Amino acid sequence: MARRPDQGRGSAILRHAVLALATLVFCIPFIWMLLTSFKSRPDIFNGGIDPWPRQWGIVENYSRILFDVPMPRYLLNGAIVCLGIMALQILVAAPVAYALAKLKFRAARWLLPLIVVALAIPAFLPTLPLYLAFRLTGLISSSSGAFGNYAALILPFSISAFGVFLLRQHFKSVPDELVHAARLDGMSDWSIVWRVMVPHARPAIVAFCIFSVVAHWNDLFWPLIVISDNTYATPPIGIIAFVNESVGGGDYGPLMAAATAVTLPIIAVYLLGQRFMADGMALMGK
Amino acid sequence: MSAAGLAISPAAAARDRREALTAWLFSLPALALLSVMLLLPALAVFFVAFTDWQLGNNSIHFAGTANFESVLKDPVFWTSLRNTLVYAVVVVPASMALGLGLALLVNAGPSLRGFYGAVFFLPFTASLVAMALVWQILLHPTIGPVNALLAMAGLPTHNFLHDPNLALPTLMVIGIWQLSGYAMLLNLAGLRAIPPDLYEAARMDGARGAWSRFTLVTWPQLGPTTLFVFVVSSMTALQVFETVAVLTKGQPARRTEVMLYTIYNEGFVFLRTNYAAALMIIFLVVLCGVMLLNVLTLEKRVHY
Amino acid sequence: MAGVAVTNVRKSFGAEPVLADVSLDIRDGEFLSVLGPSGCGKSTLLKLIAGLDIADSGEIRVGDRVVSGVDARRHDVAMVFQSYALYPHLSAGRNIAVPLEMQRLNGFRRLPLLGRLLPGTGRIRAGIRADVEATAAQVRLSHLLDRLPRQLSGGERQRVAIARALVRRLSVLLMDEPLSNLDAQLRVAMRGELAELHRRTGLTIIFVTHDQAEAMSISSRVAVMMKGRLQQVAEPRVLYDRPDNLAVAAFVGDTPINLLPARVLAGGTVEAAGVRLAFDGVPETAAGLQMGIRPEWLRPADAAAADTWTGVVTGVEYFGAEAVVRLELKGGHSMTVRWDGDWALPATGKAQPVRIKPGRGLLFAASGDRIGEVRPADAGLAVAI
Repeated sequence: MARRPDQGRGSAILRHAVLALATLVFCIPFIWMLLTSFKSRPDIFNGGIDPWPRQWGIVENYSRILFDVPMPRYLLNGAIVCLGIMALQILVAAPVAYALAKLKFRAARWLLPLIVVALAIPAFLPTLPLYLAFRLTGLISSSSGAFGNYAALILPFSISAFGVFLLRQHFKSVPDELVHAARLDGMSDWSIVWRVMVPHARPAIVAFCIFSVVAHWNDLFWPLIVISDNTYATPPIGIIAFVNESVGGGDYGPLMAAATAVTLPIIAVYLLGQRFMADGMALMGK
Repeated sequence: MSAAGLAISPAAAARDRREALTAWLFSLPALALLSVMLLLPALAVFFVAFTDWQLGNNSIHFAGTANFESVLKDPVFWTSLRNTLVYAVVVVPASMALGLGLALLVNAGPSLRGFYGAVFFLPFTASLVAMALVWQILLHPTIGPVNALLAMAGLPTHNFLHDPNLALPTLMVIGIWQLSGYAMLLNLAGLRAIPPDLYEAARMDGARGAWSRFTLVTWPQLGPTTLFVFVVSSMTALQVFETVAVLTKGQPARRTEVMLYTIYNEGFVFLRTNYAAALMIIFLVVLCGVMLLNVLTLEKRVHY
Repeated sequence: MAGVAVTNVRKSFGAEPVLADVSLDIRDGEFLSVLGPSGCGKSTLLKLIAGLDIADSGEIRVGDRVVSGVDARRHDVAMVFQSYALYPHLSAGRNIAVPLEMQRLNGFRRLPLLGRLLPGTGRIRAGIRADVEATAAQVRLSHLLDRLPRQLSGGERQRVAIARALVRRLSVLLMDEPLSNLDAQLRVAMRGELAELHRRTGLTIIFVTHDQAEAMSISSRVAVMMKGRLQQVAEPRVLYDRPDNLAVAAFVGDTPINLLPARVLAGGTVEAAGVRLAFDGVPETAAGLQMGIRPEWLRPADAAAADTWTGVVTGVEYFGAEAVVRLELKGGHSMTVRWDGDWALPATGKAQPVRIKPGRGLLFAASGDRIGEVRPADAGLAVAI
């Protein structure tokens, strides 16, 4: 929208004043989290409304979560699970999206509606049978190792109906002439998917990846169900484990350090990919 | 294909077959995973809900509607459903209104748009589990700044998360804080898609004030965005889980018991598989009902 | 080197026939244009030759190889597309390299990062780079190889598309309306470049266009196609002077051909709007004839005579080098005359007699087919002009 002529300096100042206040309100939890993670234990227990640390506890708080609590391990678990999910989602979705967008086959007539139906299934519905199936097949048990645990965390999300649908929409907009040119250049359908379609839909794919990573980094419901061994805890589970261990201890400094360590990477991912958000806007939500 | 009885050459038919085969090969992994991870489990819930089976049982019997009856007789279910609906009825409109207001303000001027947009969206990206713990400190009865502020102002302090009358409203505030950024970002995109011509036409038609421009152009043009935000926000709010699981565990006095938390406990803690399945289906019906109601009431606003 | 032979090819989409029994021989090294209005099936024909689509029946040969039914990758023909179809995420140089990468690097060598570690990949890539640079130099692109398609002008994109088609050194090049996305001036310049390219490379070029001036000006032969059928395949000169039928006559030529109802008199004389011309080989029983006179074949006469049409000037369009004068004849027929820019322009509303150049004039039967031959000019008339 072009700037309207009736918008004077006064209303611009008012706009910034209101938005600055809102920014402060929205950001207080983040500011408090960060500054509390810098405070020493007595400083925190003094209470009050002063956010600035008077006695610094930055070293003890962060060394506690780095060495006493396996926070780096939780972050690593989160990275493995998120990247695994993301890679599988793209690997599975791109070929089928290409088939639905550019190839002629009769099954497309019911496959696409099926994808849309899958889109509408709330995430909690399949968890119960999947949990039972994973338990009964021994994928998750007290003795299952890295493979079983990571597989249990990753597999249920390996197919994203959203991803298939989004990629299909974007692949459809690739001109047929480009596909023809690629064929004449000697590409197979498989090459066309990865060398023509995927680069063409790159902004949408980046947006999708960001949402996938953010969603699964933060997910609590499914990890809470399947993780029994905290060695494989994702960051949210790790934080909860930390809270349970230091129960009643009021170790708020290290706790906020842990919260910061969990929140910062994902905010960084979001800010880095923010310019692609417009393309992936419709992807958010459960 | 042979609409007019025209024969297709063998070569063309072979090519079509090859293309269909490729398409099938490309679809197979997705179709298999879709079935195994999503569709069959979703159907299995319906199956289990009509049996007496629980994890560990060796036998399985048809149980008719017994599970559903015991759910409907359970006062915990009704408490949970009521809390969930009350939560959503407050959080969804509030976060939508706040989101729209913020989007209008951000969009009203050219400077710092990207910055504000990013800031208000932060709560939606940050880990809610971590942020819930931050809120716990903010609202802490002895060391939290909120109560310190109340005390300084001479007002009574509260143990927000343990006060039966305040626990759910407190969770609502956190929910609104988290969701309005989402509504804001979508509305911002919707506002940018409104053609500037419409505002100029409205001015020519005599719509001088900001309010008349809003009612004449902005609000109707945002119709589809509003519907979308409504559906996604409702789904997210009705499936509230993290804050309850981390902060209140359904307490005090079941005042924060919500559907997804009840389902989690029954299905995965108490392992009452059949009961949880019935609970899931009833919750699914509620979700569908709410969606249908949303779409029907909002439809007029979207189709003009 | 290879020619292309299309024999009895049919293609329909559903019940809609797009190509009805098309046969066409393109000689090795020939520049052949396929000319026709949109929807006539010319692009479909090109796709069949490229292997992007498969004919319902018939045979297509490239060189001595039957390619009908063979996958596009193995047709060994190159193609330039109307939209250029460049990969938007690859630089001009990478675009040109794609066909070579597909040909010379197998799937493992093409893998990102990993492929480069395989022994030999570096050497193959160096060879590809050398070939790309050589081809780019051929179309004067060397300085633009690092640019992305969106950073290039229309003409430059066009040259990238041509380079990508040339890089495999195949002997057959297909072009689907390659100039239609360029502005008028650039289009004329590109025509010259294409003709020059053809001379230099000796490629067999099949060039699809709906622009008759384009087809006439650059090709050695033109195949006129309408409603899925070939109407005439001939050199541009023949197509213009001796079109096989009314449809071709009407489609070829800048200014539409004049058509006057005509009837046969005794002795092979044909009369149209009061003027008689001598034709050979016209049956006296022929009815419903039309005489075709190109606007360029008419000249102004000083005074009305037995061999002149006289009409009232209804409009004059002046272009500098030439002008188009519109006349309305008695009986309501209109006539367009191509006026030399040097001649005095007639005033609108005045009567203007015109005479046909000797030896010119076409006659079409009621079926639309051309019949008879106008009798060559005799000495007497030549003097009169």
